[in-house]
Amino acid sequence: MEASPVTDLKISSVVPASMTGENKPRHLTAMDLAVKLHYVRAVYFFKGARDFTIVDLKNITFPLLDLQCYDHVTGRIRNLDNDDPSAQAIPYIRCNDSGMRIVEAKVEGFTVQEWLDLDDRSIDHRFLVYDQVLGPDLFFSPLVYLQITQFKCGGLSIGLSWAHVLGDVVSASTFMKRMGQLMSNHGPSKPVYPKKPELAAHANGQDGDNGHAISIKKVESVGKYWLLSNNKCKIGRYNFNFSLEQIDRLMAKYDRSFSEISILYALIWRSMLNIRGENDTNVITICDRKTSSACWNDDLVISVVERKDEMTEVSELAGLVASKRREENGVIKGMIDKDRGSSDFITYGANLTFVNLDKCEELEIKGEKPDFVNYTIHGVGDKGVVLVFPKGDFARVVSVVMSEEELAKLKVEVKNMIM
Amino acid sequence: MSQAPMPDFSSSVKLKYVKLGYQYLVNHFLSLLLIPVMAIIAVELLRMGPQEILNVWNSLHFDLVQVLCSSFFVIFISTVYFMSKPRTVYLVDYSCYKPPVMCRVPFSTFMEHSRLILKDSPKSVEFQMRILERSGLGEETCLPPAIHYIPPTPTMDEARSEAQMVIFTAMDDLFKKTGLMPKDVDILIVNCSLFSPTPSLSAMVINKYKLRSNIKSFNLSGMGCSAGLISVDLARDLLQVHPNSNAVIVSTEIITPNYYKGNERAMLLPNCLFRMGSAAILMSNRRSDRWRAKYKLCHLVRTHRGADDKSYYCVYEQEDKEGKIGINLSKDLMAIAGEALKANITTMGPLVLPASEQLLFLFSLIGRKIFNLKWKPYIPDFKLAFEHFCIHAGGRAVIDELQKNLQLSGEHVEASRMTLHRFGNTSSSSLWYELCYIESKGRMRRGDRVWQIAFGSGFKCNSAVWKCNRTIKTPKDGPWSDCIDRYPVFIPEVVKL
Repeated sequence: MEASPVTDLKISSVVPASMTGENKPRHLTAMDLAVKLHYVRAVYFFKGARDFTIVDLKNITFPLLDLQCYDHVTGRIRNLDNDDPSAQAIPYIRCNDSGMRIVEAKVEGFTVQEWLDLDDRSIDHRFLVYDQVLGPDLFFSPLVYLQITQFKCGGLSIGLSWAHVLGDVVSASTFMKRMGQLMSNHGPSKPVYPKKPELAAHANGQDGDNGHAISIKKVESVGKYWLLSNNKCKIGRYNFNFSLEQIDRLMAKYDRSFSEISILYALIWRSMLNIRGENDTNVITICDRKTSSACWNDDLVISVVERKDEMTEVSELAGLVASKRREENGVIKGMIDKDRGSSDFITYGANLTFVNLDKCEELEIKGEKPDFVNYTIHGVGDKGVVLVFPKGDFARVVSVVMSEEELAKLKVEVKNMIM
Repeated sequence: MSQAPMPDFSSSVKLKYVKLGYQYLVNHFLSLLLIPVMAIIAVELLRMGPQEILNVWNSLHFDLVQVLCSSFFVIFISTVYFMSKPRTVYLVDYSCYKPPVMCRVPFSTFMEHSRLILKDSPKSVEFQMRILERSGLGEETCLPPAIHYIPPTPTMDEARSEAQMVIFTAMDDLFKKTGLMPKDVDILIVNCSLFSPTPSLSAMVINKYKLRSNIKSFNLSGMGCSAGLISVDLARDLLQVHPNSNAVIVSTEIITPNYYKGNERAMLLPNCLFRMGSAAILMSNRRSDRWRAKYKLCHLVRTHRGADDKSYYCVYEQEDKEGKIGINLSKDLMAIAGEALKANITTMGPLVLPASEQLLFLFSLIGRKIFNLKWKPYIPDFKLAFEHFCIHAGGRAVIDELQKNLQLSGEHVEASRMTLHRFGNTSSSSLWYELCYIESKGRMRRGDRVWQIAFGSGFKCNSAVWKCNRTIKTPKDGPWSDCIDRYPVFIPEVVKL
């Protein structure tokens, strides 16, 4: 699909229901700065006419944004005044109630089912989510965009574009879950709202470790336009669907002792080995999350797995993934703190990155769950990102973000592997 | 060192007592005069003794005809007096609209939208930012849903739906508060200056509430921010003609169709200040309402300066260079407002000021005009005539100017400033929000007099004087009920965005 099927775009802002007051600053931690150039995107599909309308969704965002834990969601990026004019300014979030953007749109040509039946799942992220970037007017760029698209059948899709500085994919999914709970008004006995995490200038008490982190990569300074410039290659997206039977077969073929996730990761790693050659695929990054409900990045666990030259079999790789991870959070923190804001970093796509989204919270609006959810990350490095999330009860989706060239080769490799 | 301030202090205290003594003497002159007269009569009576008093009584010949004629005469005079007295008009109750949180516009959002809509004129954006910083508005003022879009979508449908939202909510609340049945409404007056569809807004109200077919309905449009008091004046006049009736007044301003889309600086000001709001008021001349009415209307003075060209053109709706319609505010607005106020007070003063102030004013006038003495014009102290002031919250400059002109303290103008902060300039309904503020603070006692002053395009200055009929308990619900505890707030000269 080349031309956009989306029409009738209307953009407005929604703000917290009551005054946050005092323009409080929320300082960005080292983990926030490590992911500042990334954007979390999720699209939720609801087939057929439902109990709620676009207006209901819009109205519920006001009390949602009023929750104390989401003060920073409606803020804007500002730069700390530095004494040294030549040093790079350190950004922070000013909680000034500027609000979140809501985009109302229509797709007249498709019903939700027809849309989901199309092969190319990259259309979800191309058309149903607003193409958000922080900048060039950095100080007045909203940190979250929510696009609500009405389809021909009366169903709708909700497309969330969430700046990663606010929190990781799980935090974004929790935000949507809270929205669903507020709509229902009587969610679980008393919804537990994420507490506002205590962020001090040097968070968590421990200072960063010395050393060089290989999970993050320094990039050219982006200035006031927070997006990685990907001049070299065009990024594409593809969803591999694995049904329960296929997963069973894979586990049987390779090794039952490892988890589904490890096998899937190893499968993709092996395929990339074939495509990129042995030198370029020695390291992978794995993003996981500690179980918590706070809306921030500091609960992300970023680890690396290094491969020795001889190890090329899927089961060997799965073994590395399962047990030979090296957590780099401390080292990342040390590296970024030492840098003091003079350079920019990326995490997703610095190496081939795997993200496990099992901990993402499910959205439920008035007792109804979405028919399909598609997650991705925008603004990633050229080594690619692989997101693994559940589909339905037992199936899985492996969503790959990579250069289109490599993606084409990957499709072939994976097909061979599954045979 | 410590000696020097003392004489000043004691002399100012002495002056204060002299002033108080003078005021008491002049204002209660007649009663003070009565005391020596009664004393003299009492002394005379005591001197004469009971026998002499009886003789005086018997010497008066009481003829039957004389008695009948004099009693008829007395009854006739008193009947003529009572018949020709204007009917007392009461304000039974009123209700102010509280916009929902979905309409809230914080500063930062307003500025961001301005930057996006006016991205081709950064100077205009700067200008708007500076106005907003000094405007005296708070972070909780509200704009209608159509204006929240980038760019705004001011269609007629949206304007009608805003009108329905603000008017019907206020009226529902009024009906509930007063127990009034819609079919009992005798007179309906709706005033909304800048939105005048066909059928009119008053017809819209009649349609919604199924009011009677012989209702006297009026729709005032184009009369600016002082139209609220013009409606009250109209209601009062109608209630003189129609006995045993009530009147419902709806004062509002519909923002949706009037958002200025251009970038001419003088016309961007209303965008920054005007916000959603409305008020519904029930007035009555029925004797049965006398006990439950909140206020009694004492005086209403309207002053129109339209004959003067400068005043006429100072708030002027016109097209800018690109053909976009907006309201042009001239730079002399404050001066013209001051003049209009002076004209209004000249008529109002003699009606409300105590004799002491009027005498002083007279002496000062005689001294300056006849004897040509170089005295400063005496500004009568209106604080002696009123307990509460409701100055139209047209903008911070208006309130500052009036505070200076009338020599009012911070507490007197608190209602106006806080209404501007919480609700913005809601045009003709702002006076009612201010009155509600005073009631919510529990300051309104029986017998208190309130002075409402409104300015409007034309240029008009209208003022109304109300007397509180019964001590008003703090309302449990109302536009201020959830935030009154936070007020008064300190409003800085310039808010840093």
